[in-house]
Amino acid sequence: MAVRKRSKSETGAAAGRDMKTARRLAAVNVVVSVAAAAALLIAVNVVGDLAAVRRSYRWNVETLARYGLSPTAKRVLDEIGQKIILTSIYTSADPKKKPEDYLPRVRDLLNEMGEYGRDVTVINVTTDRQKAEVLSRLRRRLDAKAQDQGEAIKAFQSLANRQIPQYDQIIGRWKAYPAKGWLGGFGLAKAVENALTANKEDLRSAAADVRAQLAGSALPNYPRMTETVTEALENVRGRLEGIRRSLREIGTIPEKANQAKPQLSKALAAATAAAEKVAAAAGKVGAPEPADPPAVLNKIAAASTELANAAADAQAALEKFSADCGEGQYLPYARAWVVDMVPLPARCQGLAGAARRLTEQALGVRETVKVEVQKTFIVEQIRPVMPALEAEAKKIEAGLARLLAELGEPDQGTKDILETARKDEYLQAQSEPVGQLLERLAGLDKLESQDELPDQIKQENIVLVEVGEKAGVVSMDDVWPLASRRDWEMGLFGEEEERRVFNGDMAISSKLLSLALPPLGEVVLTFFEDIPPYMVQGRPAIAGQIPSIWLGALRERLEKADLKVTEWNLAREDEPPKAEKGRKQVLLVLPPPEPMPMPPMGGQELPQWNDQQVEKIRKAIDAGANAVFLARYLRPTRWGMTESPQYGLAEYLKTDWGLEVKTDLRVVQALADELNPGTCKLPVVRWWYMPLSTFTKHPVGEPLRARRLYWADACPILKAKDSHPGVTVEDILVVPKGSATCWAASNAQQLERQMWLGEGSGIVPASAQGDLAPPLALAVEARKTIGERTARIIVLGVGYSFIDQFLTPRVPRFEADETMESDPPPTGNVDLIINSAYHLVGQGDFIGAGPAIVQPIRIIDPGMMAVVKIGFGLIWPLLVLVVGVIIMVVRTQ
Amino acid sequence: MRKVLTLARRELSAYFFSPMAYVVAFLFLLTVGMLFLWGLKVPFLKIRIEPVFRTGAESTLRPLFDVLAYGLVIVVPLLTMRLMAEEFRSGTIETLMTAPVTDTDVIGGKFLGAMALYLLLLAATGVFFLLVVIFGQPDWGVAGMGYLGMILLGASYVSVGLFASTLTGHQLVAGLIGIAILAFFTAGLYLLVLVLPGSYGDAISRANMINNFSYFPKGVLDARSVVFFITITAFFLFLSVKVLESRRWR
Repeated sequence: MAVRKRSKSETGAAAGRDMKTARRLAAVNVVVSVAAAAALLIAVNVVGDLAAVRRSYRWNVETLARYGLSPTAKRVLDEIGQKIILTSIYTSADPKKKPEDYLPRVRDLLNEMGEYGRDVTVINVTTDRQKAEVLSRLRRRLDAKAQDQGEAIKAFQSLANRQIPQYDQIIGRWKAYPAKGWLGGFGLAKAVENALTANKEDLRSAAADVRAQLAGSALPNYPRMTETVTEALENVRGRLEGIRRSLREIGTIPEKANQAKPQLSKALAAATAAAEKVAAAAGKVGAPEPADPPAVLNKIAAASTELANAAADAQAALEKFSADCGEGQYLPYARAWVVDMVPLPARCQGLAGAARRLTEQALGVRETVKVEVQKTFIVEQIRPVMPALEAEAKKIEAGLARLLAELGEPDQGTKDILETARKDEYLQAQSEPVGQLLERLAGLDKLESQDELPDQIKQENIVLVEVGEKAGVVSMDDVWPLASRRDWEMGLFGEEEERRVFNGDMAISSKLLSLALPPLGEVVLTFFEDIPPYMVQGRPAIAGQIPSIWLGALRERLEKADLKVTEWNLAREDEPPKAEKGRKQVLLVLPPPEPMPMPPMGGQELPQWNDQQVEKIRKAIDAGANAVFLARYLRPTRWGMTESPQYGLAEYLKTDWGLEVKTDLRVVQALADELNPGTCKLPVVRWWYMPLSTFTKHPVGEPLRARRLYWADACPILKAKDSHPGVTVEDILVVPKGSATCWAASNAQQLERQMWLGEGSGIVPASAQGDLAPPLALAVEARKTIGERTARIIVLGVGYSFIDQFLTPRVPRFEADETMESDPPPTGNVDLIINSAYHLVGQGDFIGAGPAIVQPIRIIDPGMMAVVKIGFGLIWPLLVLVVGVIIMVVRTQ
Repeated sequence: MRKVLTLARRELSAYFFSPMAYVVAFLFLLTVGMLFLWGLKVPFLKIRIEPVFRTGAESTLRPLFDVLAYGLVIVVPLLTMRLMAEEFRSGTIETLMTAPVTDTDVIGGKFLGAMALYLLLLAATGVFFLLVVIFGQPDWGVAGMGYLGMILLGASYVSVGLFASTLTGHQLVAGLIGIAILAFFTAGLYLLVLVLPGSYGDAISRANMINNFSYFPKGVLDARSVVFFITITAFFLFLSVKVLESRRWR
């Protein structure tokens, strides 16, 4: 085979081509392989990001449970089958609420929820633009849900715009009404003018309020706008109807006056005639002395009796006439009704009275004095007053004539108004649309949970929680409640410092729970109360020392925690309300009222707390309900009494559950008195707000251990001495053994007095007879087997700390410079009841985890800190450098 | 693998026989110590970082790790910039290329050498954790995961730095390229998310190294992030090998 040899130049060119091809191939190889690697990189990461993979291959290896989701939060997220949007809006400029201090943990939590949940979107708002977007989204949602409300409000605005000018015209006409016009005689013209002006102002003010809400950047509060509009319209309608009714009624007066004229005139004429008769019997001033004074006195007595009767009849006739004309509402305001500043009926009454007195005097003088004296009496005492008597009778008659004349003939302008009113047409153009709009407003659906949202969203540092179509806000005080005082006890911080702990897991889970799931259980507020209606005088209200009416905030929080709240008044019902199928009940039993003293003879017997009521509770618990008993230190309620009244459930709790609730002792927390070693002082604030978070590991209390909770009027609960087989008692909240400045005082009244008198120092703890030293239990759970089930009760000796007056005001606190500051209200207390309720209805899994208790870096004295800083901050890096220098030196040598 | 380890050993000793490692280690520990014990305050930039170790603070290194994750964007490229660039500049690359080692061996060895130095630096921060143990109550799970995260993050940073070093014979340029790439994968993507709409933002956010790292200091072992760091590290090592390979035919 012949082979053609390539020339040198040919070989070089081929090699060059080969090289070029090889390079091209290599480049293609690199590009393809890099592209494949990139694709693989993206594919692997995309697969890893799929929700199912993400959830399955994620482990939290924390040992102190600070950053991860609690089992409760996971369960809540698992059970909500709706879209969830969690938005953190932490933009406060308050130095105490700086977002950089508080936001990172919130974001961590929300991101964790976003990672865990199947359909959870997390938005972290940091800029005004983002905030505006959130508000705009919420606004669209609110507008969509409140479409009917929005239309009704628009209708109101249009009505107001239409009617305000109409009012101006009508008011103008009333202003022009003559001062001496017929209606002016009743003062009605001015009243109508004022009422119409008030209507105009109400419409204007409500329209302005609504306009401001709809135009502003804030969320429109449709429930409140509806309320404002309804209130304004009701006021407007009330006034319009009042005017229309008055004019209708007053329009009948001329006719009635003309009808009553003969009878009234006759009555008054009879009175005038009788007065003349009396004067004639007495004789004129200056006439000779009567020859037979007893006979004259008899005549005077007879005539004046007649006058008294006639005047009384005239009075009755006038009053009847007034009553006929609009039930006495109008005539007393008529100008002619009053003669010389005294109303006509009163004048008649005065005349009748004078006539009666004259009769009595005449008969008395005739019977008791000599004839000579009788003569003098007639001449000097009776005759001089006769002209006045006659004149009064005539004045009344003339007054009546004037009245009837005025009432019977209105002027033409008034006649026109009255005629329109009679046909029910006056102000109808204004009243009818108002009534129709009110009906429309009354028929609107209630906008659930929307009344709070617009206000809550204005707060600083919030988390907006949206589940499906519902939305709610979790405030900073819920996410970051105040820390327990445990840190202070460790001596780390001053009392004045506001320390907060992160409770976001519990707060946000609870909000999700309440927005998304049906009630987890039912809390039956159980009490014995008999509150008489407001107007029933002299009958005392019967209620215990925690009346149910004081628990508004507690009820609201229970409902927000997804618990239904119902009532069982033992004074009226024998059984608790029937539970819905599948929903467990827990009784929340308030302290019973103390026995009331027996009523005086003939008084109505008062309902009393007795064994029957205890039996009702026992029966309900035996039938399957668990219960939370609220107890408190019971203050002596009667004057002069020093002993606490008896707790009506003490015997039951003792015999059935082996618990002795010492409501006669008050747990007192004092401070060590530095001036008198070994003694204590009682600060006023601590007396009312006793900080205590020493919860045990019981599931109800454990999540609250890091929270700063305050209590008042707490009483201890002891285990009864005699054994109670089958009952297991477990403490929830305790004053631990060795707490030197805390004890249960039997002389609380005396201590309180001392404190108020400024003598609350130098007190020796637990010095009084009957005082108890720690350990003390303030909340316990007792369990026992009833039939086939385990019955449970929880007794809270801190029951007073759940009332509105305690939960709603802020907690006072003295700063180091003795100025007074305040902390947020102690709303966290309620979590103790919520947790108890969850626990007792078998939903303990929903008890929030609460803040983790983690010991922070302990106090380091400045000397030690300096050593640490120099040693670890400077010497340690220098050491590395020195080692390097040595090595370099050795190497160069 | 033996070859890789030999190369790694050589690389590590090269670090210790040059003042570079000591200076970087000194500066690194000084900075970490300052942040840990004194904090940082730059009023005109409105930067305020509280000291991690202070009375009443959480017993954790988490804030330190969070700051370090950003700080290492600069530190690691400074450590890795000489890995290949120095070989290119001094011409020793030719010797290396003719030695019986593959490109993968070379890159693997360089990577492991740099990682070893990085791990030593990281281990040196253990004294600060010791302080937390003595004066507080640390969460061992969180601390362990924090260090694991730092290792994974460091590995990806080193691979990026190494890749940058393969691109040029100038150390400084290599360092700047490394910093630029890491800045893009951290702060750059963070800023990009702010301007992009929701779904794109989420996707971009997933590629952010800091976001992937953020789970570890919370005590969360997220397989996604582990996979992310491993794949990113592998990808940049692969790119480095390819760049090195290209020298043969360029």
